[in-house]
Amino acid sequence: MNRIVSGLFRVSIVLVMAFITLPLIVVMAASLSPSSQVTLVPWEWTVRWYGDLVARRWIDPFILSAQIAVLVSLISGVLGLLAAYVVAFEKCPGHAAIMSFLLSPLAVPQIVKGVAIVLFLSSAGLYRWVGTPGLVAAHIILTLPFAVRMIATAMFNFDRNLDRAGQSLGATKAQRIRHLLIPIIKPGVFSGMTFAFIISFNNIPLSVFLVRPGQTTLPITVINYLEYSLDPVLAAVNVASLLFVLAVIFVFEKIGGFSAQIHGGSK
Amino acid sequence: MSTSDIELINLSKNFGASQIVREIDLVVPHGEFVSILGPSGCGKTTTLNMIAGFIAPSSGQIRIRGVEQSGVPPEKRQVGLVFQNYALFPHMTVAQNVGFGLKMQGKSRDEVDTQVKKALQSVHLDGLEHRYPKALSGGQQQRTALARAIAPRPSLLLLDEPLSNLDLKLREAMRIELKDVQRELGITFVYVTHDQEEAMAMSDRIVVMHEGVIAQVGSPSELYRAPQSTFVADFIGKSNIFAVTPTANGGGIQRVRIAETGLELLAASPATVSSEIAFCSIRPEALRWIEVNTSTEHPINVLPVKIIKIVNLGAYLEVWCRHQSNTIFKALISAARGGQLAIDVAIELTVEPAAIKLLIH
Ligand SMILES: Nc1ncnc2c1ncn2[C@@H]1O[C@H](COP(=O)(O)OP(=O)(O)OP(=O)(O)O)[C@@H](O)[C@H]1O
Ligand SMILES: [Mg+2]
Repeated sequence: MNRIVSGLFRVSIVLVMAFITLPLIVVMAASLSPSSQVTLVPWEWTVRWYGDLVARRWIDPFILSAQIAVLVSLISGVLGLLAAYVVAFEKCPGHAAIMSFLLSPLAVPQIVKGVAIVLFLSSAGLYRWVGTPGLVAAHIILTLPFAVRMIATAMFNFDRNLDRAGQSLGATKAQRIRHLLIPIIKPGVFSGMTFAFIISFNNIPLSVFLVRPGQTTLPITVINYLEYSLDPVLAAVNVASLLFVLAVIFVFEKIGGFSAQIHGGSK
Repeated sequence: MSTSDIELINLSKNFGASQIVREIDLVVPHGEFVSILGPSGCGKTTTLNMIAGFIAPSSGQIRIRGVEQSGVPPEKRQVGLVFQNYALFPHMTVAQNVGFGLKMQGKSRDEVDTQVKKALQSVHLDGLEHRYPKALSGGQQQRTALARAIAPRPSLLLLDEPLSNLDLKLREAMRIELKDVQRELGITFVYVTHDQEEAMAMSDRIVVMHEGVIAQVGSPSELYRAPQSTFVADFIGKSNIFAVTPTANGGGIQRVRIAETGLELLAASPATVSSEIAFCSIRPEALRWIEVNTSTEHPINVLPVKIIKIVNLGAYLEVWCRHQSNTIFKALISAARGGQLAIDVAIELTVEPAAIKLLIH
């Protein structure tokens, strides 16, 4: 009986993994396709589409997206840390209500948020913010709930006896935050920042309202290009940005060590 | 300058409507090993947390080294703390954990290193400086926690059931080590436990707590010899406790009848007013088994009983005996002597009048 269950378990894991990875494999294969129609002919590979990526039409949006994502990630990390500290650690009066409020943007569809932000900017006379500052601000509205959530969870899990131990050893509040709280919740902060980065880097529904012509983010550029042609360069763009995101996750993980947290433990 | 490290004066703590700690008075002189002993939920941790400064008292005063502590935050009290779950900093090595307090005080690196080394030596942990807490056994974590607390040389250390997560063998070994460390460093220990053996083994003095009040304070042997209430008699060691009514008093002897039976016992007359006596307590080892015709003396308090149960405790047998009045007596009899004892065997027990403690509550 147990063997059947564990066999089924394995089969389902394999299926889930296939379900997740197959589309990626198709995209990778397409990016190596020789003709300008997307085909999947494995014995005639070419990397010429990757060569096309070096053109400014792809490099500029990539740099813009990366810059925005880095900024969004950093700001979300700092704001998320401050908010989570006050709400989850200090448990200020009304902390539960504040937490719900901070998470509430999650409940609003991105399109609605996008329209709302544009309306707000134009009616507040801030239309010149459209472009990079608007994008950063809008993305932060989107990513902050995730960052707050992850950091707050780490703070909730922080063993308060550690803080008390620090206190009994004469550490001031600032010393305890610096030497105990922050290092111990660091994985939570970095996983929140990683989420913020990915969400911002891939975002379409909000960005669509806020990009300036001639200064678009990478996903928007892809969408625009898609209206006129569907050639393998798009697949190459996707593969390249996937690799970039993976590299960023890897770096964050190296600094923050958050997989240790996800897998239940810290060093 | 007062020589007492802690003075609790009329200390109380309420959580909402429930009074958890009630008007406690206690003075702990410097260098004493005092245990706060009591069943779960009696307010031991709450009392300790008030001394450490994590909980503000509802009323009353706490003085540490003679100084009133209201408004003094825990980090300013210079009181070491050892937690039940150790609370080691998981991201620091043993040496970093132990050095934390000194580092926070801004001590120089050299000084931190020497003190850390000393502290680790005194708990026999040398050689593990660079391990992380996760890679330590329970006993080693316990020692690390102790070293961390003593490294800044507090004059006072509070310990909240520090051994309760260890297995029995290690717990017994650590008792001795803790006591040694305390004696060597001359630090005052306030040790919270619900394990009476632990408290008996280590303490200079034991504070028995019961439902938020101090039931009795005394040295381990005082508490054992002269419990002042059935609670203490029962909690410290084992006791046969009976509700009694006093019957007659004279010649230094107080007669009491065990309630609802005809059984009358003769006890040494206590200082208390005889009419207030309501209970008596007899230690199991005070019940002697009279092996047939050993002498011609006529012992008093002879109890003809029948054995109903024998619990083997190794060196001793705990023999449960029933008197015809249905009163059950538990006697402790050396296993070497108790060979012929068996269930349903009729024997005679006796108890010295002086070994019967008469109690009011
Ligand atoms: N913050 C609190 N709010 C309300 N009640 C509390 C609080 N802290 C403790 N209590 C109650 O106070 C009582 C005493 O708690 P305390 O932790 O001091 O017991 P203890 O003697 O240490 O017990 P144990 O041996 O189980 O640790 C318990 O009934 C507990 O439920
Ligand atoms: Mg407790």
